[in-house]
Amino acid sequence: MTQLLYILAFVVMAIGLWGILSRRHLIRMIIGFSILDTGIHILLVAIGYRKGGTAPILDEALSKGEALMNAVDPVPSALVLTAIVIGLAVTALMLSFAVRMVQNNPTMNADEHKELKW
Amino acid sequence: MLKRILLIVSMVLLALILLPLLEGLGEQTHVSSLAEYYLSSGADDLNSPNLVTSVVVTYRGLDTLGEVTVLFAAAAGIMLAFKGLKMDEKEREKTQGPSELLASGASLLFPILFIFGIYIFTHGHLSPGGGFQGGVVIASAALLLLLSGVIPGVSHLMTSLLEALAGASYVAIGLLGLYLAAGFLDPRFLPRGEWSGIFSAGAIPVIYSLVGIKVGSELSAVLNAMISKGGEK
Amino acid sequence: MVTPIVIIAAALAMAFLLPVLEKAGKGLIKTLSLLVLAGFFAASLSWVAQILQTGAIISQTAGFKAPVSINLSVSMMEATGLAVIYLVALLSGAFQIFVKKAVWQGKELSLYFALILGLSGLVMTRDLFNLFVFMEITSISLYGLLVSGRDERRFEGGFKYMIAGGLSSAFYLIGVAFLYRETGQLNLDIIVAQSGQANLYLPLLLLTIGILIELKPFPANGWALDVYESADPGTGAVISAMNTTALILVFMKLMPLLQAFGSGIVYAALIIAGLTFFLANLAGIRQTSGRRMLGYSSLAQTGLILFVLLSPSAGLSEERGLSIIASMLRLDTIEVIALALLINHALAKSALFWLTEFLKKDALHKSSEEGDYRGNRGWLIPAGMAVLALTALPPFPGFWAKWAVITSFGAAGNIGGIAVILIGSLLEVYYLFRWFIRTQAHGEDGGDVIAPQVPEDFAPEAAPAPAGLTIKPAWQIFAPALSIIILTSLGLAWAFLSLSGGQELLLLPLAALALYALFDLIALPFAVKNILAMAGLGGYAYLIYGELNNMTLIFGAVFIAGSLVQLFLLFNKRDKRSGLLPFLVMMILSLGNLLVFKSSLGFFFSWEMMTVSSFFLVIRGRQASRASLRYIMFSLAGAFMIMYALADGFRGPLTGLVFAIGLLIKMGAIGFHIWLPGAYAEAEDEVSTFLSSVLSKAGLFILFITAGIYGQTFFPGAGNAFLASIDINAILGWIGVITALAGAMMALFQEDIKYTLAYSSMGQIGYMILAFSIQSHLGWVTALYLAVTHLLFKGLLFMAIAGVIMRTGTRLMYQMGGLIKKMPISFISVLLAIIALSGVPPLTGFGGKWLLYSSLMEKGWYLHAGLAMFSSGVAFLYLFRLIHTIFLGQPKTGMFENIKEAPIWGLIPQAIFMMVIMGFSMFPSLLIKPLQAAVEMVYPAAAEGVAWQGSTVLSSLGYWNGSAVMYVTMGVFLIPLAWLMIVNGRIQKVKQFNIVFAAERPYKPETTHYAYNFFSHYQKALGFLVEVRAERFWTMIRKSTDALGGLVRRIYSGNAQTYAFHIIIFVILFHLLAGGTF
Repeated sequence: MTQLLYILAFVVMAIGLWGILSRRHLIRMIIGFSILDTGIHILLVAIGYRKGGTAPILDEALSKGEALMNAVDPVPSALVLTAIVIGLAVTALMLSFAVRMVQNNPTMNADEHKELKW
Repeated sequence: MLKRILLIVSMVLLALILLPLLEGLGEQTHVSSLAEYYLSSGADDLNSPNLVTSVVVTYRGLDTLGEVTVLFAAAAGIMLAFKGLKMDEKEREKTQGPSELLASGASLLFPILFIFGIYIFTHGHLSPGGGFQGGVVIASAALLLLLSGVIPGVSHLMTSLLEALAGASYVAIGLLGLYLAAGFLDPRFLPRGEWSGIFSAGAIPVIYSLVGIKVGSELSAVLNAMISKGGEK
Repeated sequence: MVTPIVIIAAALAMAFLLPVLEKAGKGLIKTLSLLVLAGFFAASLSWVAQILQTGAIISQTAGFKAPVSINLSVSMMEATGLAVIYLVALLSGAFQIFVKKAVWQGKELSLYFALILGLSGLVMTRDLFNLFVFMEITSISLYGLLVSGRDERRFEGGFKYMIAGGLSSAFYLIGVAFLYRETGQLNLDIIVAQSGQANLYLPLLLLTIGILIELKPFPANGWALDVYESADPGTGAVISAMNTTALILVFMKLMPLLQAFGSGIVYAALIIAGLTFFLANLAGIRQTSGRRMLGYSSLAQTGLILFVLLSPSAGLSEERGLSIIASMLRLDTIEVIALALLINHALAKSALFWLTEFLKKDALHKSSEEGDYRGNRGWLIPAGMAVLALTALPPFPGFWAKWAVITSFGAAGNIGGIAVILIGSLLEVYYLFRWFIRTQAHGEDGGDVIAPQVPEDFAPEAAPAPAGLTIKPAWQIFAPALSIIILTSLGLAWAFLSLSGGQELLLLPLAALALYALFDLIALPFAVKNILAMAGLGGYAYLIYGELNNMTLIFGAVFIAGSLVQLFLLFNKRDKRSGLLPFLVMMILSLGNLLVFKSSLGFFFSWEMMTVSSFFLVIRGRQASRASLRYIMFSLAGAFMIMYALADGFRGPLTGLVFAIGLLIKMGAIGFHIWLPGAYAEAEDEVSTFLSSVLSKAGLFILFITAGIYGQTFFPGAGNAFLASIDINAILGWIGVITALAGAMMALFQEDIKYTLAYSSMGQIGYMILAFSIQSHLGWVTALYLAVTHLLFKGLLFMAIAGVIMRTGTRLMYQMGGLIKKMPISFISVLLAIIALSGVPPLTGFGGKWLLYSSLMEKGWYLHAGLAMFSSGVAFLYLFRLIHTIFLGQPKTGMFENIKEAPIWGLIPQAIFMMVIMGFSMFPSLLIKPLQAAVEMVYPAAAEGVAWQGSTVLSSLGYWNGSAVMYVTMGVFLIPLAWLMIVNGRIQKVKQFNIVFAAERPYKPETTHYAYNFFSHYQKALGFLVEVRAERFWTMIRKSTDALGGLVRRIYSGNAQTYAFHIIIFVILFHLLAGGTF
């Protein structure tokens, strides 16, 4: 089960990276980043998982004493939360830069945004 | 074509390099040594049933503060980027007005979403959820209003004031922890409260509420800037 | 006491509140921001003090101890690094607030504080995931700051930055995730303590790559260049100085982890860093945009710092200053070196970025606008100093750090490391100095124009370009100025530590520079300043006199007394000439210091100071762009070779050879001579005489003393039969004689009088090298004799010619003529000088030639003797042309009728030199005795069957009595003179140009003048000898380097996607270098 998650994570990351590297459309490149980020988030979640674990939230189903035995690792959950927010911030900023780029040079093709080089 | 082949070759090489990472990743039956501490002592330390929240807000509180900053900086950057951008009058005319359905639905949904958002961030220490999630729900409520045209825009003054005050209060609470309790962002300068009570776990719900307000107002402002394509007017 | 966490909280509070406080008043937030920034800087300094007493400062968060919670730790390295970051932050903030008022408002300032928060966190945190968060804060606030600016392309640059940043954080995050999976921890110290448990190669590889990409390694750094080029200069400064500093500190923090788990990664990073340094500099030489060029330089410097940090042997140096600082701050030597390089780069590069803000045009293209800054000292001084600092010239911290690194490498036998650093630095020297020179060049002097040997028209030179535009108000320059002042003070402090304990004297040139610059600043009249300069030189001579003996005394007389006399010449103009005396006095004192240094560092320091000061003298010339660039390039190439030899301690088989070549470059020997004519000729007329007669002897002196010190081991050839079989002195001999011949031949065909004299100097140096290489008693006496007499007659010539040029306003010989009646004293001085130079009796030159020929014959170098004799003949020809076309014949019609004799102040030093020449001619023993005594130490006369009787020398070939020769020749000379006086009355005068105006006016009127192309017949016969082969060779070197640079930079295609692809390639490359397999 977990292995599947790992493989899924890597496949998603690979798709994202492929999108960044091969799609010329600016927005698609940015979507590639989002996919790459998602892959990493899956990876983080997978790393925190333990067999048969449950969410580390103490309630009737999970008492204080049981947590050590049955709850999943709360650290990756915390990390993934942070990573998601950061990914969101970067994506939003990228999109706004893309809008400004297109305003200066009205094409979405990354190949044609090459005023700076060498 | 050559470029594509090169691309494929390099992707394959990269995959080959990273492949060993996947080896030996079996099912885990134990959590890490770090997690063991949180799972065994976290509840007693902070009196918060949601251990993820304990980690997010307290043990790794600095991360969360940083996260808030990231969002803040991104919002500021987006606002700056859109500031110089003016939509063409013609383009503005071309955009269709919202449909009747959207407008009515938005007005109906907005209060529910808003209250739901508040619920999420005030109960972050008890159940799944927290400041970011709550804030995002609030921002999506604002987005609905903006898209439906029920309100022409979100007041920039209001969002920036809310955002600044919530942020500054967050820092202030961190400092209170430093001076009244054992360290920066230590929530235990407020009473532990009752287990599973809404006013429990020290300052954790306060922090999450502030985060919720901050994220909500920030994202609303960003959405506002994007939709009106004018940023500050 | 402000703890690290309070800084974080304060920066955050500022970031959150500033946009709101802005509504209360813009003045408020600006004042508040500056106060807080100043507070940060003060706090970081207080940490330094505290750490010295109590050790690292650790802040726990959340009331729990690490690893349960995140902790911050500030040790000495971090505290000092943060001090640098906060200092630049303060200056940069002040620059944006006061100078670029409109650009930064509340939002930008708020982002700026978020950035500072991110950088502080990066440096302080010990948690790997927290590091990622701070990395993102830094990047995102930087993206936001990029929005402010004018360049439309900034969004494109920013987008590429985000692509790179996004990929780097993705790699980093995957690395952290797996690291957590393997170790169960995120705290750096805990993970390091667990070393040996698991195979962490891949997680660490990804982690390292994540950090490295942010440090802009080759080839994954195209995006950074685009950002540097398009960003607002203020933001460029922030990225280059603050961001890089923080990331290098992060890398240093991760080093224990890498060393514990993955030595392959360290090795790969080392190679990548070296490549980055070298290739960025290579591509940098092709840049036309100043800011992009600064970007390349930033990449290179970052690479250099990493390269040094990762080199295992870089901290071996036991240099005095370094050891003192290391023990004072309780840092390792390698950390001190890294810190010095960081400070050097951060302050100098940010200063340059700020300074480009004031340039009207960013591009390096040749254009008249670039000359604007020549008259503007407020711009030029900080810019020049920043360039000196970046190229690691004294007294800046970079110089000391580089010396420490190179000597460490030398001690460890890491020749490859030395080569990478020195060759890379030379490329950087090239483009930085070219940029600096072009920003201050005159409109018509774009730097690419070949110095006109034959100008197109007869007209006098064009009037000087109008004085440059000034930065108004002047205080706006405060940020770069302050940053340079601080950098200089740090460098001086290190200089003082290094040279204390016996070599404090070596600091005097810097003191003199400051003192005489102060005199310029308070606008003392030039005469007063010049008197003070003379007094200063006198005092300095008194100071070092006690330390001189024999050999050093002779060169002391040449350097100091020779200069002192020539200083009189400077009285002859009335303008203030600021900047002349500071550098002149500095140069002379540096030369003097070459006589009294006590360590190889002391020597190299003085040598570089001499180079720097003389460069600034050359660049003062009106058309000196090209000449000064060549001068600094060749000088520094030579200096780097010398540095290598010193670092190697003369142990390697090739070291002696490299050292000798370094000196030969400085002496302008054949093949390396192409810098020489331009530098001597294009400098100001009054300066040329110092360069040619005094400065040119520095290399010779060092050749003497090193040969003296190291004796036979100077050119050891040890361990290599082939090298041992080479007689290096034979090579030197040939170089000397060919230099002499080539110099004389090239002097023959010049139309420009100063070029004639410059080439003549080259020829004379050739004689000295030849004489030195004989390696015998007589040979060395000859070399010294030639050195002293060359000072006298070349000084005399340049001074007399300076007077002539001043009066006639031209340097072209065919435009002069008939000046004998107008300027009789100058005529006599030139006459005396050329008699002395050409080696005809009765003056000193004859003694020199006689000694030379006899020592050559003794050695058995008959061919050399023949060639030397031939060169003397050629010399005689150009000297004849010189005196003939300038002083003899008729004065040009209508041009020079109202010319007066040169000013009295020009004549006084000439008179002194004439008297000395006459004195030495009549009483040669006055000169020869001391020379003989100096040589005696190395080559005793008796051992070679040479005997001296008074001024008569007896050798196997015969004897020479200077006094007798003098009297006899006087008699011979007087008889024809008397006859000439008698027939003088019968001369019939003919008007000039009679023939020309009879028919048509030729296209180039000067071609019909007899003095134009005076030796065309010889040129036909011998011209092939003086074809510009060396020039062509060096041009080819420059062009192929250029082409190589062009090739390298082609990979930076400007396509965001290609840059992303480069990052993937970089990962694969890095993995392979780290010894990984697939």
